[in-house]
Amino acid sequence: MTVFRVLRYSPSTGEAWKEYRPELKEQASVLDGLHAIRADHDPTLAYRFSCRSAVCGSCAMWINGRPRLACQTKVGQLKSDRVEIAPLRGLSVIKDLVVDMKPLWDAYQKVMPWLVEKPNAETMVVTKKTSDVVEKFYSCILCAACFASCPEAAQQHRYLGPMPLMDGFRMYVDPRDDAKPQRKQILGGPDGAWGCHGAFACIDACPWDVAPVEFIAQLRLELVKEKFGG
Amino acid sequence: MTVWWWLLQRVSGVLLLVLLSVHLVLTHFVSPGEAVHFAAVQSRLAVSPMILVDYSLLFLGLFHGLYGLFVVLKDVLPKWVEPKAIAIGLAVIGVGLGILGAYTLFVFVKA
Amino acid sequence: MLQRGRARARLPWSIGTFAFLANRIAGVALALYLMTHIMLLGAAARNRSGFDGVMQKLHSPFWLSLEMLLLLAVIFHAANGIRLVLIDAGVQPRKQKQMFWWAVGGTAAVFAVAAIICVPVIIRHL
Repeated sequence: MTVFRVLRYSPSTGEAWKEYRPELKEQASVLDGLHAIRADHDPTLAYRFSCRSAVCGSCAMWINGRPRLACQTKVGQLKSDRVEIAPLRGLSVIKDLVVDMKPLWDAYQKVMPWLVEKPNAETMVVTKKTSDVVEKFYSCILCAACFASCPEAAQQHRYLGPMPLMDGFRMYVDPRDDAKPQRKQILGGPDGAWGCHGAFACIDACPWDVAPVEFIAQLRLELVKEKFGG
Repeated sequence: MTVWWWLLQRVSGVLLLVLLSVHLVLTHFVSPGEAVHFAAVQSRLAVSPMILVDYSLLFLGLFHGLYGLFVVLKDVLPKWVEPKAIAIGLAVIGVGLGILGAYTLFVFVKA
Repeated sequence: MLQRGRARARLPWSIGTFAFLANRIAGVALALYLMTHIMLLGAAARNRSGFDGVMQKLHSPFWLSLEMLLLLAVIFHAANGIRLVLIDAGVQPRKQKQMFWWAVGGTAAVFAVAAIICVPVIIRHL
């Protein structure tokens, strides 16, 4: 029987690993396991989930040493009779597996993830060439797995992080956008693109194979090209 | 502003690759059996290209190393330590060692 | 709230994060070495015979072996540095794992050449 080892926390009881042996069907996901624990063993277990189909990004957590989506991770796929679950690394824990996503949303807000339209934006055409550059970006479900696995983002409070910078780049290259100077300030600051030091953990972490660092690398090239009048 | 430091770190790294190879081969691998002698260094630094290599190595090495330390310390030190303070501290060390190193090289060049 | 997820989830170890850590450790060691090197030579170069004396002492098997470790750090840091600069210059970041193995191979090859030259010297001095 698979043992679920969950790192529990509450402000009153503190931090502690707890073990459970939920009854699971053959193709059960880790999320199914958590549901079974809450239904049959401990109704106080707190965790986020919503769509159960890897689209909403709510159930990202630390599973057997890596950030994964609980709904997308089959227990069988982990090839172990122990499933170790902890909250996402680098974000403060509210209770059990529920983390405070505020630092991520704050970083996201800083990159202005909205279009500041040029006066003639409505008549502008976004060519396939431009949209191909950011195509993979649209798969991002804002789950914070990349943010939690990045040694820079999850450690210190200044670096904007993989997902926000990727979003910033998407806006930066949109031909309809009119806020390039402000974006350059934010994305080109020390906490922006230059804060990525090449650990590449985000490539492995992303459940949708988006690889934020690809966008950060392109962003840096853009910023350097522009510095030299390109 | 940071773009310059970032670029210089990469450029200095690549240049150091070449300069350091020259330095290591000439000081240690040409006659590996012997300890380094004052006279040997002096004769190596008698020609301008070598003087240029060693001075460049000194300043690029100091920049690359200290900027690298800056990045690491920024990550590792507690949040309340201002990056500016770290930068100034390392810059002071850099200037001090740069002057010392430049003078040391000069001792060999003028001898 | 439990601040900053002191939850004992550690860094997800992978080739990229290992290379990142190894590069930092090598870099810091090299930076500290450089500072020591400048100060040591600065002090030793005061006079000819003093300098030669210090250099002779540093030619012992112990110090020479430490220099081999230093060389390993330099070669690895340089090789990994090339890997990073290539990615900065536009090579696909997804190739980073392959490139790491190239860097390790390159490091081993260059270090082997250096070892073939230097290890006999160290052994002779034992």
